[in-house]
Formats: sequence, structure tokens, C-alpha cells
Amino acid sequence: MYINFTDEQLVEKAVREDPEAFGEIVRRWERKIFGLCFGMLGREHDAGDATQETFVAAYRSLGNFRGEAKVSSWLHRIAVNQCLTIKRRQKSRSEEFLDDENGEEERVFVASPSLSPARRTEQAERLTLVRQAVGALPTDLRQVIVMKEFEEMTFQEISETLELPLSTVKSRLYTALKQLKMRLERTPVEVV
Amino acid sequence: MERNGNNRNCGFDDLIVSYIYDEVSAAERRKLEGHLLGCSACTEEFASISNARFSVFEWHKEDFSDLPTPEIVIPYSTSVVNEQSAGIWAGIKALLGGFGMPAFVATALLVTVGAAFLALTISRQSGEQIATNVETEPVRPAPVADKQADRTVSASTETVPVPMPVAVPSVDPSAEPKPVKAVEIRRRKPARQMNSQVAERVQPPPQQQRKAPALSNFDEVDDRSLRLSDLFADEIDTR
Repeated sequence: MYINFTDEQLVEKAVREDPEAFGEIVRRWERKIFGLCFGMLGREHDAGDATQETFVAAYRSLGNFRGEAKVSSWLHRIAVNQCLTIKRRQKSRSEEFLDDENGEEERVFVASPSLSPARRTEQAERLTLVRQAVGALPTDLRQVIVMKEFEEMTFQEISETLELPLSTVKSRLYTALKQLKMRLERTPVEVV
Repeated sequence: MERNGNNRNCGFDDLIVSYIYDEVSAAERRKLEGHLLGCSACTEEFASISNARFSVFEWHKEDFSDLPTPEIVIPYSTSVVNEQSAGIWAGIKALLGGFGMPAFVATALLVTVGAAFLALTISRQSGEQIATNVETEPVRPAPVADKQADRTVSASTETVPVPMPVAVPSVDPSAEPKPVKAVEIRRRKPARQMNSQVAERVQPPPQQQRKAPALSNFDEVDDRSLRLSDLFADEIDTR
């Protein structure tokens, strides 16, 4: 229904209390926001919480969106704030409840782990694209990605293994991820 | 939120990558987080790199995490045994392998060598026992103990003075102990000296001499078994 609408149009509709419009925004950006949160928090579970809180915060602040920035930038800023809030919360919790045996966390939102068939198909296609994109990278860039992601080596270990300066290793990985992102964006996954 | 214009990520490229993989110091972390809050370009870049990384992470997780690895069986015990016996077995294998001998021939050879070694050991122990028995004899000189023993131990004797008297249980306790003058201890001689002793050792011992226990009833003097040389004696003579 809202596939052909821009993000800004969807926000305008959502401001006029159209829940489906905001649902479309969530559907479009949840994965990217999750990726950002995953990069900031490093754990899937925390990233899921941060993503959930990001969209709740965005929905609550729809009235403050003035259209001066892109929706993506607006959501990213909210996501960074939510991640930092979660980090601070975790830090204070770990300091206060070091001896807490229960370790129960307050969770208001729990994301469902089950995926719809359409989402499964989308994920399978995306993984195929990632596989192809990684395979198409130059060898020196693909090498650092494999060593970092698959062999879980530190930058220092990669530097010693490849006999490269530490800055070169980081630069290569940065370039590799950048190229990977470009290749993935060039062939977007069609959402059913 | 400001935009950084032409400055490529405000020089935070390496720091963004390090942050995503959680390899930054606390100071670097605070620095980047503070910057991301105020720089939308770097936030976009961070999101872009982070998403690419997540794609690889997800691919890795979905395609590789549940892959069953092949069962690898390493025969640790076998390797240890081989290591321990490497010296002996390697030599034997090299020897037999070099001659191309079949396994059963090798086994027979080993059994033969082992039996010969065992027989030699038993004979030597018998000779030593005889010598010990001779030592316990009070005064009289030790005779040639036994023919069987003589086959492995030379009959040559050597007089060695012994300072201490030897206690003999069979001697009457009321009688005075006789001083020990000398005990003949039989010692082995080199093989080349044994030929000269052959005539001496085939002499039968005196009847009154104490006889050492024999290992078997085999008597070389009375050995009348058929020999190979007897079979071909005529042929040898005719030739």
C-alpha cells in the first residue's frame, strides 16, 4: 500500500495518526537501524532492544520531525542516542548489581524470533547477495574480512599475520566493508 | 547536527572500524560517541559500515555456524607406541624391508633369536649357580662342576685368596672351623682360549666330587644321535 511513498511522505501520514504509514517506515529501516545498533552494542540481543526503543522513541517524537534532515538521518540519530543510553544503563547496572544472582532484566519489548515466510525468503536472498558480494571483493580486502569475521582475529593478529601495519589493516577492512555496502545497495533485495 | 563537508568522516575511518569491532580504548570510545552525537555524516557513515559488517556477520552465522565439522580421529595411543619402539622396529623394518623378506620369515627369525638368547641366559645362570655352590664348599678345591655347565663356562680356574671364613651349614658345629685357604673361582675366558680347553673339559669328573645339579639329562659324551656328517661320511671319503 505504501511501497511507492517516500520516507518523508510516510512521516507526514504517520503524524496524522496513520499507524500503517509508520509501520512501513519501521519495515524499511528496522534492519539498517538494527545493523547500526549492532555495530554500537556488539550483541544481537542488545541491538534488538535498541532498535525497538529507537522506533518507539521515533514514534513519540514524530511531531518534532521538521523535515530539515532526511528520515534516515533522523532515525540514525535517535538510534545512536538509544544505544548510548543502553550502554550507560548497562554500565550502571553492572556496577550496582554485580552480586545480583537473579540477573533478571526489565524488558518491555521482546522481539519475536520467528520470521514470516516472506521474511525468510528475503533473508535467504540477502545472504546470497552477501555471499556473492564478498566473493567479488579483491583478494586483499576479502582476506581481512574473512580473518576478522570468520577467524575472529584481532587487528593486531591480522597485522602480524599479514605483516602489514595496523593502520593498513584497519583501512583495508574499512574499504572492504565500504565496497561491500556499495555492492549490496546496488542490488537491493526485493521485499515481498 | 552538523555535516562535515569534504572532510572524509572527520578522520574517524579507522576509529569507526575499531569501534565496531570493539577494539578501542575508553578514551577513543568516548571521543567517537561524542562525535557521532553531533556529526550526521559520520553517523551515516557509521551506520553504513556497521550494516555491512552486520550483513557479513549474519551470513557467517546463518551459513557457517551450524555446519557440522568432520569427525577427526587421531590415533594418539598408536603414535605413542610407535614412538617408543621406533628405534627397534624401524631398524627391523629397514632390515627386513631391504631384503624383501616376508613377514613370517621375519617372525621366525625373531623367535629363533629370542629362544637362543633365552637358552644362553639360562645356561649362564646355571654356571653362576654352580660357581656359587663351589664357593660354599669349605676347603677342597672346586672341581669342574658339571659337563653341562662346562659347555657354556670355561673350565679354566684361577686361585683367589679370600680373607673371610665361609660358613657351611652342613659342617658339624662342634668341630673347629677349618681356615679357608683358597677358593677357586671359575671365570669366563675369551672364546679363542676355549678351544685349548676342549680336551680338558671332556674328561669325566672324579666320582667323589660333588655333582652340580644338571639342567637336563642330556650328556654330550653319550650323545649318539645321528649327525649330518655321519650321513655323508661315505661320500666325503670317496671324494
